[in-house]
Amino acid sequence: MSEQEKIIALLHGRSEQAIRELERCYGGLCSAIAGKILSSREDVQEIVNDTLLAAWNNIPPECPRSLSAYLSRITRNLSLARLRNNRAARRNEQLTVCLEELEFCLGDSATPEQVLNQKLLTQAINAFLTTLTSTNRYLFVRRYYYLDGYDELASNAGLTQQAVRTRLMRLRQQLRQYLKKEEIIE
Amino acid sequence: MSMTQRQQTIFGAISDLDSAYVQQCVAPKPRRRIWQRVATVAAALALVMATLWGSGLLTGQEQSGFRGSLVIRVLAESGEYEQLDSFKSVPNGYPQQNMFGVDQPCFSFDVWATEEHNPDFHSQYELEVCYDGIVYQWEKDSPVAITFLYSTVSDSVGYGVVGWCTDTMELELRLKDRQNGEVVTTRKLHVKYLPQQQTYELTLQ
Repeated sequence: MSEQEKIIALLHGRSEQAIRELERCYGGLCSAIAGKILSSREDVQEIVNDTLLAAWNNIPPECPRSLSAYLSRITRNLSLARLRNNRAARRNEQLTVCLEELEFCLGDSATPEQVLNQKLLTQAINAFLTTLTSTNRYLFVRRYYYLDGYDELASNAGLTQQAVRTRLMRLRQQLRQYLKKEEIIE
Repeated sequence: MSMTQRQQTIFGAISDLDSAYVQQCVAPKPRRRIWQRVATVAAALALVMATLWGSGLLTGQEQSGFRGSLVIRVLAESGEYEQLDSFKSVPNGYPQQNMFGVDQPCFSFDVWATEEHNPDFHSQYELEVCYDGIVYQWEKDSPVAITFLYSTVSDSVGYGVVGWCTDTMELELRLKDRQNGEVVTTRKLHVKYLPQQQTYELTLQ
């Protein structure tokens, strides 16, 4: 039985040991994700705790295929909510840069007043990712989901920082074209 | 500075990406890159191969204008590096993680291009690996993800090649003349992954 299966079994058995195991196995991941969105250490710790609590409350009935993906999604959403609802919360600089890069993919014609359909956008990005090579997909997901810096990406993908920058720039252009083709943006 | 509506939307869209992608890209632990591992082996092998070549133990195909050969050596199940004559079964080289931190089977082999009494070999020739019509050099893109390296000792040039596939692939190794782009010698390699045995079968064609 894998570690993930053991933890899910503990959650189903309502054993509080599950929380400790979740924190031991996934606390670092959640903390890293929240830490790239929020700049305050206290905010990050609270988000990690809230993420683990959310997992405790939702499993069962939910039974995620991948706990790391499930927890990282909760962490991202809670961190975003923290930024949105608490004006005192400060965003991490890394997030600012990543958001500006991502906004480029939406094109110039999509004004702030236009409400983009988030679900359709997700579907389109998922489809776009299937067209990429594994390296490019890795770079895209690590940069815009995990909010990695260029130095981390270069080190982990075995590329130079300049190569990573160039690839990501091309990927953003490709995504923009793809979203236009799919009529998600004008 | 608050997030704009557009930023929130695309951030939210990315948050909901397919969990398979998210899982696939969980951060890899810092580790030596595969090419660095292969480099270590290749450097050691260069010495051995140069010695073997000098003793006349190595043979290979010969073509006009190029008086050398491409020799392929693989780490066989015995744990020893062996020359690939026609067919060998080799263990899954990197069963833990590939260079992107994803569990994936990998194979590796070394290619040695030798030409007697030619210390300028590398400046004259380069090796290419072609898969499915695409030539891979230092790129690490899926599904071939081949890295090259070379080391020169005397008249030998070695290349470490690492790749992965989950079924089969046909690789063509081409030695090209740098000046005129002419392919001076080629070898074709059939790679087959056997998931049950956790091994690859490499067959020269």
